[in-house]
Amino acid sequence: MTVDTRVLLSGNEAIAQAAVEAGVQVAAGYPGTPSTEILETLARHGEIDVRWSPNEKVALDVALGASLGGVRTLATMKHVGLNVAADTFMTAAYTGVGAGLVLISADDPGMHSSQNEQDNRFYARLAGVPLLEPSDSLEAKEFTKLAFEISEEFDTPVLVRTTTRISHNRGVVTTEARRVRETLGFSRDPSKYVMIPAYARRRRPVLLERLEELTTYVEESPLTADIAGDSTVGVVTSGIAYRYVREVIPGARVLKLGITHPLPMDRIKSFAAEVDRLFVVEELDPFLEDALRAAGIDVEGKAFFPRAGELSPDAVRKGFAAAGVLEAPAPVPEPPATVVRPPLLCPGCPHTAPFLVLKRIGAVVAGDIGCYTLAALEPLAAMDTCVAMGSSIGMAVGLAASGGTEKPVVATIGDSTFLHGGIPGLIEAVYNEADVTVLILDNGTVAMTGGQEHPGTGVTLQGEDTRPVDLVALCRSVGVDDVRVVDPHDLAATYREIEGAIAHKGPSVVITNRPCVVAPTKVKDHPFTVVAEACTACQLCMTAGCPSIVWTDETFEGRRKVAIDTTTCTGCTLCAQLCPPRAIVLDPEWEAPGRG
Amino acid sequence: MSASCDVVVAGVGGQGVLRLAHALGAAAAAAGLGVRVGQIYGLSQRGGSVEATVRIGDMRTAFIPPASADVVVGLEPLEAQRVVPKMSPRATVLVNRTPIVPTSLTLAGGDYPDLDGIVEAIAAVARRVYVLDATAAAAAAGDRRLTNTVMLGALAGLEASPIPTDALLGAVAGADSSIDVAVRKAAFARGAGLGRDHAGVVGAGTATTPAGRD
Ligand SMILES: Cc1ncc(C[n+]2csc(CCOP(=O)(O)OP(=O)(O)O)c2C)c(N)n1
Repeated sequence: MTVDTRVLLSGNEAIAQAAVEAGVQVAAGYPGTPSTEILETLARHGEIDVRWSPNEKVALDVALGASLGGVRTLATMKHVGLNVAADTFMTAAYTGVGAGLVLISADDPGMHSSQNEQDNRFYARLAGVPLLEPSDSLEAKEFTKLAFEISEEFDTPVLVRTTTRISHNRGVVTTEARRVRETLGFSRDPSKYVMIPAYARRRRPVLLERLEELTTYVEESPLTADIAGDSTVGVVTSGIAYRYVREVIPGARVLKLGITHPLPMDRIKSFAAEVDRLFVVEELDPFLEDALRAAGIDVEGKAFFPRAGELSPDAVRKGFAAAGVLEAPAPVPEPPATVVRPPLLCPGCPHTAPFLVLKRIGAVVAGDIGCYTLAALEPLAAMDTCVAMGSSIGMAVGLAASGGTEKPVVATIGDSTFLHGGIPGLIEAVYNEADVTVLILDNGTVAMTGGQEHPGTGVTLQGEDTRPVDLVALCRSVGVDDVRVVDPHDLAATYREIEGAIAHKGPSVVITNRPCVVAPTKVKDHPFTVVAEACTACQLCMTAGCPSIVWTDETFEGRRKVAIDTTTCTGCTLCAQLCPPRAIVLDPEWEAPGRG
Repeated sequence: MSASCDVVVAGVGGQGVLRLAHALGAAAAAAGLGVRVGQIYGLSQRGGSVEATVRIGDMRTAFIPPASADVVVGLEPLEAQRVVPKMSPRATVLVNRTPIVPTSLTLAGGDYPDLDGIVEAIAAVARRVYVLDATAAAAAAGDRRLTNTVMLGALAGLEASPIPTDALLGAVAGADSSIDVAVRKAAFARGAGLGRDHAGVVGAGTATTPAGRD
């Protein structure tokens, strides 16, 4: 990476740059939008041990262990990942660290790619650890570096919370050289690192004292910044909300909080005393507002600013208008009534056929999180639940236990999700003898988050070969007798195997194994085309929801015929298998690349 | 052209919206201009609508307020129309004429709207609208995937942004891409040619450039 230059970096790249400069030696995480590119960027550095772990808890365990071993360590995850890692996180606040340990939680207000929009600032308060909230790429780098200093000075893990706009947006950042300190080594200290009740009871007051000291630090920190302005309106704010406030009401006096736990309540109180009307502008929950109220400060906030969804300059303007501080904004023109364009499974996606089959069978489908969750939407519309990573199997077991359905109960789960949180669910199914079928959709990648490696792919984040987890052996070893493997591009075989597994009494597993068409390699096989004269316009191929299949102006018995866009068709053969009159054939005009 | 300029890039997942926005941003930064790039990736990339913003100048956020974009680059007609509320009355709008039919529309049995109607809706708001066949120009340059690079070239040819052309070309050449740099430069040059043909055409209206004209 370059030294002393101005570069345009996303917040995620800026955090990776901070880790480089701060001398991080081990970094671990699990992919999750909007956090994923931090480790991907860091992995390119070469000198640093950067790894994907099977899930966020393991990543944080690795990070804590490395920190106790005496090297600076970074752990990264999306907001819901911290739920998975929370068990370790809560007690890591007791053990403290060896060398600096910083955990990045990338929250997703507005749920651009998430199942909820929980406000992870509460985790910092729950655990009793310091919390930093950068407001752009430049601060993402500076705050992350500072977080390592704080971690070491106060002997605590530090939480840095970004949001999607901070993580993904790009701004200009100045880079500096990497500085690695001498490794401290592991120093044995059971009273600090072995959290049996007797020792943990001693660590609890240490944690509370540390918070007192941190409070003093935050009161004096330059990250608590009083920005001069007209004192008729004072705003306490943090993170991206700070930027919106400055844009919308540039004249107001602002107390910008770079550290939002613990809070500099003395500074906030004197700020409150010097302004006529005090507002808190924050995204999602009234985290700051409630704390100010609890401290006896008269403040306004969520009465005017939304609690659900992302903030925006517009939402902040509307809030101040509702509060009578700003003029009402000019009405925004309605977006034109254009057709919506929701996300879709790709042409040739190996997830399509299994859901066509499940729909045909009429199973109750406990789904999970990944690209395949798109099968919940039309036209496949073959998924009945989706809650948290790995939940599908346990929920299928519960659905079967409830006796609430006569239909077969099937769990569908991606390969990475299975390794992340699905294995205990499968053990539950064996242990408590559930009559469920588990479909492991093995596409050899973490497709949803952009095609990362995982323990089943046989390749590490740094591109090195490693031993892949054998899914068949794993399922057998926990006690599943009926384990089948099928190519999901063979529709009839997929139907047969799923039907057979459902007929099996007790837990069964069907593994569909066909690589993703996008990652790690973009698949482009010989495309198909429709022989127009042969098409009977039955439109069965349309049930697959393939983006490459389009209508033509020709009709048959009043129904429209179809055509295939050969530039996007990947040649998966699924529509040809579905076509009763066999009107879908290999495109005779196609020339394989490199041969033309 | 003032030093500040708000650009919206709109298209469909997979078309290279984010790469185009990044190239613009990197070029602005290389030219010593202040810049913020606003983008979201994730689910939207699975064939969904994608939008990015590039704010050149000393900006506090990457959000472009309603009705204030100076330049809009639409990699697909419907997606260009979708961002009409962002366009200022001064806006220069570039539209790639090759449509990508939304599958939701196909499944509902609907037809892709008429291109003239889309252009009219844009021209009702923006000052200048240029329609070009960037997909064909990219294919002619050697790779259809370079539609975004052709559009960037057209933007340079039109001198629609305060970023110097050599900085834009530098960003194209320096991008992290699997496509040969000579092909990328060729696509940029074709776009620049298409843009130059129409630079200086001022006033509402449309200029439709036939495919592969240069
Ligand atoms: C706790 C948690 N961590 C991370 C994510 C982000 N995420 C969503 S789906 C997914 C995994 C998808 O991989 P896989 O199960 O292999 O399915 P694919 O997308 O490849 O079909 C990840 C990491 C999440 N939603 N929740």
